[in-house]
Amino acid sequence: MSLNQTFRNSITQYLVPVLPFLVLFALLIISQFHSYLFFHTTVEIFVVIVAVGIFMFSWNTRKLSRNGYFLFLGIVYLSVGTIDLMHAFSYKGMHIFPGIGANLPTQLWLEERYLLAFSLVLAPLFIGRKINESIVLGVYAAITAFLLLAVFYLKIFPDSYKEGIGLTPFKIYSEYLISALFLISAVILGIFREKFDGRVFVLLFLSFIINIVSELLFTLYIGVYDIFNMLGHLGELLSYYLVYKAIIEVGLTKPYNLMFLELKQADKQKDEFLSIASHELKTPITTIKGYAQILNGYLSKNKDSKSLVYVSKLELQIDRLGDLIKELLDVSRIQSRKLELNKERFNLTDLVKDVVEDMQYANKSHKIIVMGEVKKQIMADKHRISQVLINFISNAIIYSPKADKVIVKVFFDHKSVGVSVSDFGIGIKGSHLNKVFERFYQDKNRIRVSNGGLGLGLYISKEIIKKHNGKIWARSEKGKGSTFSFNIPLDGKTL
Amino acid sequence: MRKRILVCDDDQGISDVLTIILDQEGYEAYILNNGKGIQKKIEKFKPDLILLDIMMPGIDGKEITRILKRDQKTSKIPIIIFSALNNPDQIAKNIGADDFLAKPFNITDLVAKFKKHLS
Repeated sequence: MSLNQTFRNSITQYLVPVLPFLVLFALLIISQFHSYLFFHTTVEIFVVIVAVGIFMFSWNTRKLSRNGYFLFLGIVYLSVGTIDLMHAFSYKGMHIFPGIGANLPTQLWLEERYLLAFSLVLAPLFIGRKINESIVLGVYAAITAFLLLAVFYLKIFPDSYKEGIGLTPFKIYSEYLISALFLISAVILGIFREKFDGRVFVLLFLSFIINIVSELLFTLYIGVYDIFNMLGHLGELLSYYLVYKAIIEVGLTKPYNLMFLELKQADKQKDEFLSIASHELKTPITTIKGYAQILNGYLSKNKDSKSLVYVSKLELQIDRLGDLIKELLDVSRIQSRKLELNKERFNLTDLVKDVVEDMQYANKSHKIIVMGEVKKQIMADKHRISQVLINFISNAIIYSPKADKVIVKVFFDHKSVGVSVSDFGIGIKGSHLNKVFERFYQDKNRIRVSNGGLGLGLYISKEIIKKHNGKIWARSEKGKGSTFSFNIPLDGKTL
Repeated sequence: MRKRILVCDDDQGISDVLTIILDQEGYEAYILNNGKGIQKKIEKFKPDLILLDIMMPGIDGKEITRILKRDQKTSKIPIIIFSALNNPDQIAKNIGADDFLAKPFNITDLVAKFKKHLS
């Protein structure tokens, strides 16, 4: 990819989605030259909408998630949003509450920020914990009511702004304290970062950091309509926008990442369990297979042909058991989309020859004939491709018990290299042909041989080839035989 | 002279069966059930090759490989990773082991790998 393209891609990826916001942001900045009150009210309305939105989202999903963190945050933001609404209504020039100056809205602002900052420090306590929603909601409703009363009626909240003088020391030191609390909450969030989806964490963290900047700007203004006040409000807007992205956007578009991270972790645990289970199952099989081979050696030496037949059957079943474990693990990986490829460059013809040599060694009933030679190399997972080859060839042998050969062809087809495996068995009925690649499919009409398996082999093969962007297909003529083929694109892209 | 193989595997069943197989195939086997003090035991036994399990309590096979490959005295001894994990080939590659053998194994494959690294 050229640099120019990368640049363009990153623009579409990161810039385009936030473009409408940037335009509104710019318009908002311009609007304050016309009316600061308009600017301020718009910012605060946005804040209230986000705050209420977070509450609505987390409240209505509370029964689905076992993580109390976001529900707690939702309740906190509802309280903060309520006080913020009062702050907006009482702002200088609004004339909703008659006879008040700039002191009261500033007091409300401090209350709201203290509440938010303290709550954010506490919030990590609820990560992964169920919370009693009525108690928390009740407590925050009481706190909110008290804070509003303290400012409007009891008038016990310290003065924050004095007309003609500006901010009181109480207000300035409070902002420092609030900044420190935001810093602490950001640090605590950092400590718990693995409990969050990566994107959610970054957004929340940035939002907390911007809060600090905002708070510090709010220590600098003299008039409630001046530049530092405006910058502080822009910071507040940005901070809420990030919280919106983190909780509402991620919560609605990728709910698993936000609310159900524990489910994602449970899925991971299931995968771990499966791989440990398969490891533990294979361990005794290794011992059993070892003794069976030792026994086989003794019996061969003593020319005990009858017992040798029994031991061979035993070995066959042991191998079958081992294969089943591998297949089950593969299917589980495919279903959880965790089939990973380790691609390398190699010559498919060489791989086919190696696999055929190994299989010929173990199978004396059929002659496996390799035809064709392609010099071009492919980029693929060697191990997985040989798994497909082994599956095709052993099927060909199993389903043509009366035949004495299997033909393996390597072919080049302008943009891909492929292999086809043909047998001379009973074939598959046309109506069944497209079903053979389905999970658990087994042709009931085909002769059941001892190494039947679960009917997962072709399904796994299909998924392996699909993952390589290749194609897999089957052709068959009843009574004459079947041909199974796959191809892998040379450039690794979809054919 | 018989070639000396050090087997390190925590599973008793596998250790037992390997003892018999290695003896039959004409090797001198020395079995360890964990990696504790493996360097001293190597010094004493002087193996020509090490067959090493991965999942073991205490120090696992990956760590043992790293230790042995870092130590000048043992770095030349071929290590064959011997595991029931699903990707022994990748593990061997990643940790710098010389080869791998998947469990369950065929005796012919085991002997072929020994011959390859003992020649």
